[in-house]
Amino acid sequence: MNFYLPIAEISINIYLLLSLGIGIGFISGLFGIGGGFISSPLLILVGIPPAVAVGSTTVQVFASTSTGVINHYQKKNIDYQMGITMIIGGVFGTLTGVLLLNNLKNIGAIDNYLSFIYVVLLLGTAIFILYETAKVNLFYKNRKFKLHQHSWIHGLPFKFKYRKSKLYISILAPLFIGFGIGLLTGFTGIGGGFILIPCMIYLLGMTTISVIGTSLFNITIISLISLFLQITINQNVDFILAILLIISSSFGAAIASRVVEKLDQENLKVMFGVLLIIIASFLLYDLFRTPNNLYRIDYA
Amino acid sequence: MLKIILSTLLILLTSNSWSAKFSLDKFNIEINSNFLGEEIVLFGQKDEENDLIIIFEGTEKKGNLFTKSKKGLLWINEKQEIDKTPSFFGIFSNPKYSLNEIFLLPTLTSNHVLISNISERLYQIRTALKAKGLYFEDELQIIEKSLFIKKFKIPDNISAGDIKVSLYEIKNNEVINFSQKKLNIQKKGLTSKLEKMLKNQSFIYTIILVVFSIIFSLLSNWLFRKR
Repeated sequence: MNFYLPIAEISINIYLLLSLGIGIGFISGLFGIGGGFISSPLLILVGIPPAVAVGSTTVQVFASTSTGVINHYQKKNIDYQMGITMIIGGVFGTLTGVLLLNNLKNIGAIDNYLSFIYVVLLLGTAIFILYETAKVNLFYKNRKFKLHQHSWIHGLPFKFKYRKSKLYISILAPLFIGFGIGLLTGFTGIGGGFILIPCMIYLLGMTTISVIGTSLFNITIISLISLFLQITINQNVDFILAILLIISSSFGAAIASRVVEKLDQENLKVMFGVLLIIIASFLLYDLFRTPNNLYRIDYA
Repeated sequence: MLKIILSTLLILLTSNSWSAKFSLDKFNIEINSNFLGEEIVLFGQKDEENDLIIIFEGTEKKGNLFTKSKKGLLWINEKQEIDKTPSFFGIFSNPKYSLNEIFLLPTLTSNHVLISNISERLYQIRTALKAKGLYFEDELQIIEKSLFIKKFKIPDNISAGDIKVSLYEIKNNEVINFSQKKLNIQKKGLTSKLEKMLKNQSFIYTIILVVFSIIFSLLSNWLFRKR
Protein backbone atom coordinates (compact mmCIF):
# COMPACT_ATOMS: atom_id res chain seq x y z
CA MET A 1 0.00 0.00 0.00
CA ASN A 2 1.49 3.31 -1.07
CA PHE A 3 0.97 6.70 0.49
CA TYR A 4 1.57 10.13 -1.03
CA LEU A 5 4.00 12.39 0.81
CA PRO A 6 2.93 15.95 -0.06
CA ILE A 7 6.23 17.77 0.54
CA ALA A 8 8.55 15.01 -0.71
CA GLU A 9 6.14 14.80 -3.71
CA ILE A 10 6.49 11.05 -4.04
CA SER A 11 4.43 8.10 -2.94
CA ILE A 12 6.10 5.55 -0.72
CA ASN A 13 5.11 2.13 0.48
CA ILE A 14 3.65 2.67 3.94
CA TYR A 15 4.82 -0.74 5.20
CA LEU A 16 8.38 0.07 4.15
CA LEU A 17 8.21 3.42 5.93
CA LEU A 18 6.68 1.93 9.09
CA SER A 19 9.23 -0.92 9.11
CA LEU A 20 11.99 1.64 8.73
CA GLY A 21 10.57 3.68 11.63
CA ILE A 22 10.22 0.59 13.82
CA GLY A 23 13.78 -0.44 12.92
CA ILE A 24 15.16 3.02 13.72
CA GLY A 25 13.21 3.13 17.00
CA PHE A 26 14.39 -0.38 17.88
CA ILE A 27 18.03 0.53 17.28
CA SER A 28 17.57 3.81 19.20
CA GLY A 29 16.01 1.98 22.14
CA LEU A 30 18.57 -0.78 22.08
CA PHE A 31 21.60 1.49 22.05
CA GLY A 32 20.19 4.54 23.87
CA ILE A 33 20.62 6.98 21.00
CA GLY A 34 18.26 9.50 19.35
CA GLY A 35 18.41 7.71 16.01
CA GLY A 36 18.68 10.82 13.83
CA PHE A 37 22.02 9.85 12.35
CA ILE A 38 20.55 6.51 11.25
CA SER A 39 17.15 7.72 10.03
CA SER A 40 18.43 10.48 7.70
CA PRO A 41 20.75 8.23 5.65
CA LEU A 42 18.19 5.38 5.64
CA LEU A 43 15.44 7.70 4.38
CA ILE A 44 17.78 8.88 1.61
CA LEU A 45 18.56 5.26 0.73
CA VAL A 46 14.83 4.45 0.31
CA GLY A 47 14.34 7.37 -2.08
CA ILE A 48 13.25 10.34 0.05
CA PRO A 49 14.87 13.53 -1.34
CA PRO A 50 17.92 14.34 0.87
CA ALA A 51 16.67 17.79 1.95
CA VAL A 52 13.26 16.35 2.99
CA ALA A 53 14.97 13.46 4.82
CA VAL A 54 17.06 15.94 6.83
CA GLY A 55 14.09 18.23 7.61
CA SER A 56 11.75 15.43 8.63
CA THR A 57 14.39 13.70 10.76
CA THR A 58 14.69 16.93 12.78
CA VAL A 59 11.05 16.47 13.87
CA GLN A 60 11.74 12.90 14.93
CA VAL A 61 14.78 14.04 16.93
CA PHE A 62 12.70 16.76 18.60
CA ALA A 63 9.90 14.31 19.43
CA SER A 64 12.18 11.61 20.83
CA THR A 65 14.20 14.01 23.01
CA SER A 66 11.35 16.25 24.25
CA THR A 67 9.72 13.52 26.35
CA GLY A 68 13.14 12.67 27.82
CA VAL A 69 13.61 16.31 28.82
CA ILE A 70 10.30 16.25 30.73
CA ASN A 71 11.51 13.21 32.70
CA HIS A 72 14.88 14.80 33.50
CA TYR A 73 13.22 18.12 34.40
CA GLN A 74 11.14 16.26 36.99
CA LYS A 75 14.28 14.55 38.33
CA LYS A 76 16.16 17.91 38.36
CA ASN A 77 19.00 16.46 36.28
CA ILE A 78 19.42 19.42 33.94
CA ASP A 79 22.24 21.96 34.25
CA TYR A 80 20.41 24.96 32.78
CA GLN A 81 23.48 27.27 32.90
CA MET A 82 25.50 24.82 30.83
CA GLY A 83 22.53 24.04 28.59
CA ILE A 84 21.81 27.70 27.82
CA THR A 85 25.50 28.43 27.09
CA MET A 86 25.56 25.59 24.59
CA ILE A 87 22.22 26.68 23.11
CA ILE A 88 23.61 30.20 22.47
CA GLY A 89 26.45 28.63 20.45
CA GLY A 90 23.96 26.18 18.97
CA VAL A 91 21.68 28.90 17.57
CA PHE A 92 24.52 30.27 15.44
CA GLY A 93 25.62 26.76 14.50
CA THR A 94 22.09 25.75 13.46
CA LEU A 95 21.60 28.86 11.36
CA THR A 96 24.94 28.22 9.64
CA GLY A 97 23.99 24.56 9.07
CA VAL A 98 20.54 25.34 7.63
CA LEU A 99 21.97 28.03 5.31
CA LEU A 100 24.73 25.64 4.24
CA LEU A 101 22.13 22.96 3.46
CA ASN A 102 20.10 25.50 1.47
CA ASN A 103 23.17 26.60 -0.46
CA LEU A 104 24.22 23.04 -1.27
CA LYS A 105 20.66 22.22 -2.32
CA ASN A 106 20.72 25.18 -4.71
CA ILE A 107 24.03 24.24 -6.31
CA GLY A 108 22.98 20.58 -6.53
CA ALA A 109 25.75 19.21 -4.34
CA ILE A 110 23.60 18.24 -1.36
CA ASP A 111 23.55 14.46 -1.95
CA ASN A 112 27.34 14.20 -2.29
CA TYR A 113 28.17 16.30 0.76
CA LEU A 114 25.48 14.76 2.98
CA SER A 115 26.47 11.21 2.10
CA PHE A 116 30.13 12.04 2.71
CA ILE A 117 29.39 13.57 6.12
CA TYR A 118 27.19 10.62 7.12
CA VAL A 119 29.92 8.18 6.08
CA VAL A 120 32.49 10.06 8.20
CA LEU A 121 30.12 10.26 11.19
CA LEU A 122 28.96 6.64 10.97
CA LEU A 123 32.44 5.20 10.44
CA GLY A 124 33.95 7.50 13.09
CA THR A 125 31.35 6.44 15.65
CA ALA A 126 31.67 2.76 14.70
CA ILE A 127 35.47 2.82 15.04
CA PHE A 128 35.20 4.67 18.36
CA ILE A 129 32.66 2.19 19.77
CA LEU A 130 34.55 -0.89 18.57
CA TYR A 131 37.87 0.51 19.80
CA GLU A 132 36.46 1.39 23.25
CA THR A 133 34.80 -2.03 23.55
CA ALA A 134 38.00 -3.79 22.54
CA LYS A 135 40.06 -1.59 24.88
CA VAL A 136 37.90 -2.34 27.89
CA ASN A 137 37.42 -6.04 27.19
CA LEU A 138 40.69 -7.13 25.61
CA PHE A 139 43.51 -4.79 26.57
CA TYR A 140 42.62 -3.20 29.91
CA LYS A 141 40.24 -5.65 31.51
CA ASN A 142 39.48 -4.85 35.17
CA ARG A 143 41.36 -1.54 34.96
CA LYS A 144 39.49 1.60 36.08
CA PHE A 145 39.57 4.72 33.88
CA LYS A 146 39.58 8.27 35.10
CA LEU A 147 36.86 10.10 33.20
CA HIS A 148 37.76 13.67 33.95
CA GLN A 149 41.24 14.84 33.10
CA HIS A 150 42.45 18.43 32.86
CA SER A 151 43.27 19.47 29.32
CA TRP A 152 44.00 22.65 27.34
CA ILE A 153 40.26 23.38 27.41
CA HIS A 154 40.46 24.17 31.11
CA GLY A 155 43.10 26.82 30.38
CA LEU A 156 40.82 28.91 28.11
CA PRO A 157 39.83 32.46 29.21
CA PHE A 158 36.36 33.85 30.24
CA LYS A 159 35.80 31.33 33.00
CA PHE A 160 32.37 30.86 34.52
CA LYS A 161 31.09 28.87 37.47
CA TYR A 162 28.56 26.17 36.50
CA ARG A 163 27.06 25.37 39.90
CA LYS A 164 25.03 22.32 39.01
CA SER A 165 27.98 20.55 37.34
CA LYS A 166 30.45 21.94 39.91
CA LEU A 167 32.69 23.23 37.11
CA TYR A 168 34.71 26.42 36.74
CA ILE A 169 35.57 26.54 33.06
CA SER A 170 35.69 28.94 30.13
CA ILE A 171 32.32 29.65 28.51
CA LEU A 172 34.10 29.36 25.14
CA ALA A 173 34.27 25.56 25.43
CA PRO A 174 30.48 24.92 25.75
CA LEU A 175 29.81 27.72 23.25
CA PHE A 176 31.99 26.03 20.62
CA ILE A 177 30.63 22.57 21.39
CA GLY A 178 27.09 24.00 21.11
CA PHE A 179 28.02 25.64 17.80
CA GLY A 180 29.39 22.35 16.44
CA ILE A 181 26.31 20.36 17.48
CA GLY A 182 24.01 23.08 16.11
CA LEU A 183 25.89 23.05 12.81
CA LEU A 184 25.48 19.28 12.62
CA THR A 185 21.75 19.47 13.46
CA GLY A 186 21.05 22.23 10.95
CA PHE A 187 23.05 20.60 8.20
CA THR A 188 22.29 16.92 8.64
CA GLY A 189 19.13 16.79 10.79
CA ILE A 190 20.73 14.61 13.44
CA GLY A 191 20.55 15.44 17.15
CA GLY A 192 24.22 14.77 17.72
CA GLY A 193 23.85 13.19 21.17
CA PHE A 194 26.43 10.54 20.31
CA ILE A 195 29.01 13.32 19.90
CA LEU A 196 27.68 15.74 22.50
CA ILE A 197 27.69 13.30 25.43
CA PRO A 198 31.37 12.23 25.05
CA CYS A 199 32.28 15.94 24.62
CA MET A 200 30.47 16.85 27.84
CA ILE A 201 32.05 14.02 29.78
CA TYR A 202 35.57 13.92 28.38
CA LEU A 203 36.16 17.53 27.30
CA LEU A 204 34.12 19.56 29.80
CA GLY A 205 34.38 17.07 32.64
CA MET A 206 30.68 17.11 33.55
CA THR A 207 29.25 14.59 35.97
CA THR A 208 27.40 11.72 34.29
CA ILE A 209 24.20 12.39 36.25
CA SER A 210 23.59 15.81 34.69
CA VAL A 211 25.07 14.98 31.27
CA ILE A 212 22.06 13.05 29.92
CA GLY A 213 19.45 15.59 31.04
CA THR A 214 21.52 18.60 29.88
CA SER A 215 22.34 17.03 26.51
CA LEU A 216 18.65 16.19 25.96
CA PHE A 217 17.70 19.76 26.95
CA ASN A 218 20.26 21.14 24.50
CA ILE A 219 19.27 18.78 21.65
CA THR A 220 15.54 19.47 22.14
CA ILE A 221 15.93 23.25 21.98
CA ILE A 222 18.44 23.12 19.10
CA SER A 223 16.29 20.69 17.09
CA LEU A 224 13.28 22.97 17.70
CA ILE A 225 15.21 25.99 16.39
CA SER A 226 16.53 23.89 13.50
CA LEU A 227 13.00 22.70 12.73
CA PHE A 228 11.71 26.27 12.56
CA LEU A 229 14.62 27.33 10.32
CA GLN A 230 14.21 24.25 8.07
CA ILE A 231 10.52 25.06 7.61
CA THR A 232 10.96 28.79 6.98
CA ILE A 233 14.17 28.71 4.91
CA ASN A 234 14.26 25.30 3.23
CA GLN A 235 10.54 24.29 3.36
CA ASN A 236 11.65 20.68 3.49
CA VAL A 237 9.71 19.16 6.41
CA ASP A 238 7.12 16.60 5.37
CA PHE A 239 4.38 16.53 7.99
CA ILE A 240 3.05 13.05 7.15
CA LEU A 241 6.51 11.49 6.87
CA ALA A 242 7.54 12.99 10.22
CA ILE A 243 4.40 11.86 12.08
CA LEU A 244 4.64 8.30 10.66
CA LEU A 245 8.31 8.18 11.73
CA ILE A 246 7.50 9.36 15.26
CA ILE A 247 4.75 6.77 15.78
CA SER A 248 6.65 3.83 14.28
CA SER A 249 9.96 4.66 15.97
CA SER A 250 8.22 4.93 19.37
CA PHE A 251 6.83 1.44 18.79
CA GLY A 252 10.30 0.16 17.84
CA ALA A 253 11.83 1.79 20.92
CA ALA A 254 9.19 0.12 23.12
CA ILE A 255 10.03 -3.31 21.66
CA ALA A 256 13.72 -2.62 22.26
CA SER A 257 13.12 -1.70 25.89
CA ARG A 258 11.62 -5.17 26.46
CA VAL A 259 14.56 -7.07 24.95
CA VAL A 260 17.50 -4.87 25.88
CA GLU A 261 17.88 -6.33 29.39
CA LYS A 262 18.11 -9.86 28.00
CA LEU A 263 21.05 -9.00 25.75
CA ASP A 264 24.72 -8.77 26.63
CA GLN A 265 25.72 -5.08 26.62
CA GLU A 266 29.19 -5.64 25.19
CA ASN A 267 27.82 -7.75 22.34
CA LEU A 268 25.26 -5.03 21.72
CA LYS A 269 28.00 -2.43 21.31
CA VAL A 270 29.81 -4.63 18.79
CA MET A 271 26.54 -5.22 16.89
CA PHE A 272 25.91 -1.47 16.85
CA GLY A 273 29.39 -0.77 15.51
CA VAL A 274 28.94 -3.37 12.76
CA LEU A 275 25.49 -1.95 11.87
CA LEU A 276 26.96 1.54 11.48
CA ILE A 277 29.69 0.17 9.21
CA ILE A 278 27.05 -1.58 7.04
CA ILE A 279 24.99 1.63 6.61
CA ALA A 280 28.18 3.61 5.89
CA SER A 281 29.21 1.01 3.27
CA PHE A 282 25.92 1.44 1.40
CA LEU A 283 26.36 5.22 1.36
CA LEU A 284 29.98 4.90 0.31
CA TYR A 285 29.02 2.55 -2.53
CA ASP A 286 26.39 5.09 -3.62
CA LEU A 287 29.03 7.83 -3.75
CA PHE A 288 31.40 5.96 -6.04
CA ARG A 289 29.14 3.84 -8.26
CA THR A 290 28.18 4.97 -11.76
CA PRO A 291 24.78 6.68 -11.40
CA ASN A 292 21.74 5.20 -13.16
CA ASN A 293 20.75 8.64 -14.43
CA LEU A 294 23.30 11.18 -15.53
CA TYR A 295 20.73 13.96 -15.72
CA ARG A 296 18.33 15.16 -13.05
CA ILE A 297 15.78 17.94 -13.18
CA ASP A 298 14.37 19.77 -10.15
CA TYR A 299 11.63 22.33 -10.57
CA ALA A 300 11.45 25.47 -8.48
CA MET B 1 -15.70 3.56 -17.90
CA LEU B 2 -15.47 1.25 -20.92
CA LYS B 3 -19.11 2.12 -21.74
CA ILE B 4 -18.31 5.84 -21.76
CA ILE B 5 -15.31 5.29 -24.04
CA LEU B 6 -17.28 3.08 -26.44
CA SER B 7 -20.25 5.46 -26.61
CA THR B 8 -17.91 8.42 -27.22
CA LEU B 9 -16.17 6.42 -29.95
CA LEU B 10 -19.58 5.69 -31.52
CA ILE B 11 -20.46 9.39 -31.55
CA LEU B 12 -17.09 10.17 -33.13
CA LEU B 13 -17.64 7.49 -35.77
CA THR B 14 -21.13 8.64 -36.70
CA SER B 15 -20.15 12.30 -37.04
CA ASN B 16 -20.02 13.67 -40.53
CA SER B 17 -16.58 15.23 -40.41
CA TRP B 18 -13.61 12.99 -41.21
CA SER B 19 -11.02 15.11 -39.41
CA ALA B 20 -9.31 13.40 -36.50
CA LYS B 21 -10.86 13.77 -33.08
CA PHE B 22 -9.75 12.71 -29.64
CA SER B 23 -10.85 12.60 -26.05
CA LEU B 24 -9.62 11.48 -22.63
CA ASP B 25 -11.45 9.34 -20.11
CA LYS B 26 -10.97 12.15 -17.59
CA PHE B 27 -10.06 15.82 -17.74
CA ASN B 28 -9.47 16.42 -14.04
CA ILE B 29 -7.02 14.66 -11.75
CA GLU B 30 -6.84 15.31 -8.03
CA ILE B 31 -3.63 14.84 -6.07
CA ASN B 32 -4.58 13.80 -2.56
CA SER B 33 -3.01 11.61 0.13
CA ASN B 34 -4.04 8.46 -1.78
CA PHE B 35 -2.55 9.65 -5.07
CA LEU B 36 -0.31 7.00 -6.61
CA GLY B 37 -0.40 8.34 -10.13
CA GLU B 38 -3.39 8.03 -12.46
CA GLU B 39 -4.02 5.95 -15.56
CA ILE B 40 -5.28 7.99 -18.50
CA VAL B 41 -7.07 6.58 -21.52
CA LEU B 42 -6.56 8.58 -24.69
CA PHE B 43 -8.88 7.57 -27.52
CA GLY B 44 -10.41 8.89 -30.73
CA GLN B 45 -10.86 8.61 -34.45
CA LYS B 46 -8.57 9.31 -37.40
CA ASP B 47 -8.53 9.07 -41.14
CA GLU B 48 -6.78 5.87 -42.16
CA GLU B 49 -4.78 7.76 -44.79
CA ASN B 50 -3.43 10.42 -42.45
CA ASP B 51 -0.84 10.32 -39.70
CA LEU B 52 -1.56 11.45 -36.18
CA ILE B 53 0.62 12.95 -33.45
CA ILE B 54 -0.79 13.80 -30.02
CA ILE B 55 1.39 15.77 -27.62
CA PHE B 56 0.85 16.14 -23.86
CA GLU B 57 2.67 19.16 -22.51
CA GLY B 58 2.66 19.98 -18.78
CA THR B 59 2.87 23.41 -17.15
CA GLU B 60 6.06 25.25 -18.00
CA LYS B 61 8.21 25.80 -14.93
CA LYS B 62 11.60 27.20 -13.99
CA GLY B 63 14.04 24.70 -12.58
CA ASN B 64 17.56 23.36 -12.45
CA LEU B 65 19.14 20.68 -14.57
CA PHE B 66 21.88 18.68 -12.84
CA THR B 67 24.40 16.75 -14.89
CA LYS B 68 26.57 14.16 -13.17
CA SER B 69 30.18 14.10 -14.21
CA LYS B 70 33.05 12.10 -12.80
CA LYS B 71 35.77 14.06 -11.06
CA GLY B 72 38.43 11.80 -9.65
CA LEU B 73 36.57 8.95 -7.98
CA LEU B 74 33.41 10.90 -7.22
CA TRP B 75 30.38 11.74 -9.34
CA ILE B 76 29.74 15.48 -9.03
CA ASN B 77 26.58 17.39 -10.03
CA GLU B 78 26.90 20.34 -12.38
CA LYS B 79 23.97 22.74 -12.31
CA GLN B 80 22.35 24.62 -15.20
CA GLU B 81 19.34 26.87 -14.64
CA ILE B 82 16.47 26.20 -17.00
CA ASP B 83 13.77 28.62 -17.95
CA LYS B 84 10.19 27.65 -18.82
CA THR B 85 10.39 23.94 -19.45
CA PRO B 86 7.36 21.63 -19.47
CA SER B 87 7.11 19.59 -16.28
CA PHE B 88 5.59 16.69 -18.26
CA PHE B 89 5.81 15.69 -21.91
CA GLY B 90 4.29 12.85 -23.91
CA ILE B 91 4.36 12.16 -27.66
CA PHE B 92 1.92 9.58 -29.01
CA SER B 93 1.73 8.92 -32.71
CA ASN B 94 0.42 6.62 -35.42
CA PRO B 95 2.33 5.46 -37.34
CA LYS B 96 5.18 5.75 -34.87
CA TYR B 97 7.15 8.94 -35.43
CA SER B 98 10.71 9.14 -34.18
CA LEU B 99 11.96 12.42 -32.71
CA ASN B 100 14.11 12.93 -35.82
CA GLU B 101 10.98 12.76 -37.98
CA ILE B 102 9.13 15.16 -35.67
CA PHE B 103 12.01 17.65 -35.95
CA LEU B 104 11.12 17.92 -39.66
CA LEU B 105 7.63 19.24 -38.84
CA PRO B 106 8.03 23.00 -38.20
CA THR B 107 4.49 23.46 -36.84
CA LEU B 108 5.24 21.04 -34.03
CA THR B 109 8.76 22.27 -33.27
CA SER B 110 7.58 25.89 -33.07
CA ASN B 111 4.68 25.01 -30.75
CA HIS B 112 6.59 22.83 -28.27
CA VAL B 113 9.76 24.12 -26.66
CA LEU B 114 11.03 20.70 -25.56
CA ILE B 115 11.22 19.46 -29.14
CA SER B 116 12.05 22.82 -30.71
CA ASN B 117 15.57 21.83 -31.76
CA ILE B 118 18.11 19.02 -31.65
CA SER B 119 20.32 20.66 -29.03
CA GLU B 120 22.11 18.60 -26.39
CA ARG B 121 20.55 20.70 -23.64
CA LEU B 122 17.02 19.70 -24.69
CA TYR B 123 18.16 16.09 -24.99
CA GLN B 124 19.45 16.27 -21.41
CA ILE B 125 16.16 17.76 -20.17
CA ARG B 126 14.16 15.05 -21.99
CA THR B 127 16.41 12.34 -20.50
CA ALA B 128 16.04 13.83 -17.01
CA LEU B 129 12.25 13.93 -17.38
CA LYS B 130 12.23 10.35 -18.70
CA ALA B 131 14.20 9.21 -15.63
CA LYS B 132 11.42 10.62 -13.46
CA GLY B 133 8.70 8.99 -15.58
CA LEU B 134 7.61 12.40 -16.86
CA TYR B 135 8.46 11.89 -20.53
CA PHE B 136 6.87 9.42 -22.97
CA GLU B 137 7.28 8.52 -26.61
CA ASP B 138 4.88 5.81 -27.73
CA GLU B 139 2.65 4.58 -30.53
CA LEU B 140 -1.13 4.93 -30.58
CA GLN B 141 -2.88 1.58 -30.76
CA ILE B 142 -5.24 1.28 -33.75
CA ILE B 143 -8.53 -0.59 -33.35
CA GLU B 144 -11.11 -1.05 -36.10
CA LYS B 145 -9.03 0.73 -38.78
CA SER B 146 -9.88 4.35 -37.90
CA LEU B 147 -10.15 4.23 -34.13
CA PHE B 148 -7.20 4.64 -31.81
CA ILE B 149 -6.61 4.17 -28.11
CA LYS B 150 -3.67 4.57 -25.74
CA LYS B 151 -3.45 3.93 -22.02
CA PHE B 152 -0.65 5.46 -20.00
CA LYS B 153 0.06 6.44 -16.44
CA ILE B 154 0.51 9.96 -15.12
CA PRO B 155 3.15 9.38 -12.40
CA ASP B 156 2.79 10.35 -8.72
CA ASN B 157 5.51 13.00 -8.99
CA ILE B 158 3.50 15.07 -11.50
CA SER B 159 3.29 18.82 -10.84
CA ALA B 160 -0.10 20.44 -10.38
CA GLY B 161 -1.34 22.57 -13.29
CA ASP B 162 -2.82 22.21 -16.75
CA ILE B 163 -1.50 19.70 -19.27
CA LYS B 164 -2.14 20.87 -22.83
CA VAL B 165 -3.12 18.00 -25.11
CA SER B 166 -2.53 18.91 -28.76
CA LEU B 167 -3.63 16.83 -31.74
CA TYR B 168 -1.87 17.18 -35.08
CA GLU B 169 -3.23 15.40 -38.17
CA ILE B 170 -0.55 15.09 -40.79
CA LYS B 171 -0.68 14.42 -44.51
CA ASN B 172 2.40 14.50 -46.75
CA ASN B 173 4.46 16.02 -43.93
CA GLU B 174 2.01 18.91 -43.56
CA VAL B 175 -0.23 19.56 -40.56
CA ILE B 176 -3.77 19.60 -41.95
CA ASN B 177 -5.71 19.63 -38.71
CA PHE B 178 -4.99 20.86 -35.17
CA SER B 179 -7.06 20.73 -32.01
CA GLN B 180 -6.27 21.19 -28.33
CA LYS B 181 -7.78 20.21 -24.96
CA LYS B 182 -6.69 20.60 -21.37
CA LEU B 183 -6.16 18.05 -18.64
CA ASN B 184 -6.27 19.72 -15.25
CA ILE B 185 -4.21 18.40 -12.34
CA GLN B 186 -4.66 19.94 -8.92
CA LYS B 187 -3.74 19.21 -5.35
CA LYS B 188 -6.75 18.69 -3.10
CA GLY B 189 -7.55 17.93 0.51
CA LEU B 190 -4.86 17.44 3.16
CA THR B 191 -2.04 17.37 0.59
CA SER B 192 -2.96 20.80 -0.74
CA LYS B 193 -3.57 22.27 2.72
CA LEU B 194 -0.22 21.07 4.07
CA GLU B 195 1.70 22.41 1.09
CA LYS B 196 -0.04 25.80 1.25
CA MET B 197 0.51 26.02 4.99
CA LEU B 198 4.22 25.19 4.64
CA LYS B 199 4.66 27.89 2.01
CA ASN B 200 2.41 30.64 3.35
CA GLN B 201 2.13 30.02 7.11
CA SER B 202 5.48 28.50 8.11
CA PHE B 203 5.11 29.56 11.74
CA ILE B 204 1.72 27.87 12.15
CA TYR B 205 3.07 24.77 10.34
CA THR B 206 5.94 24.62 12.87
CA ILE B 207 3.62 25.06 15.86
CA ILE B 208 1.22 22.35 14.65
CA LEU B 209 4.10 19.99 13.91
CA VAL B 210 5.67 20.61 17.34
CA VAL B 211 2.33 20.09 19.15
CA PHE B 212 1.59 16.93 17.13
CA SER B 213 5.07 15.50 17.68
CA ILE B 214 4.89 16.06 21.45
CA ILE B 215 1.37 14.57 21.64
CA PHE B 216 2.27 11.54 19.47
CA SER B 217 5.51 11.02 21.32
CA LEU B 218 3.84 11.14 24.76
CA LEU B 219 0.98 8.98 23.53
CA SER B 220 3.31 6.39 22.03
CA ASN B 221 5.45 6.35 25.18
CA TRP B 222 2.33 5.84 27.28
CA LEU B 223 0.89 3.15 25.00
CA PHE B 224 4.08 1.16 24.51
CA ARG B 225 5.77 1.70 27.86
CA LYS B 226 6.77 -1.28 29.98
CA ARG B 227 3.98 -2.21 32.38
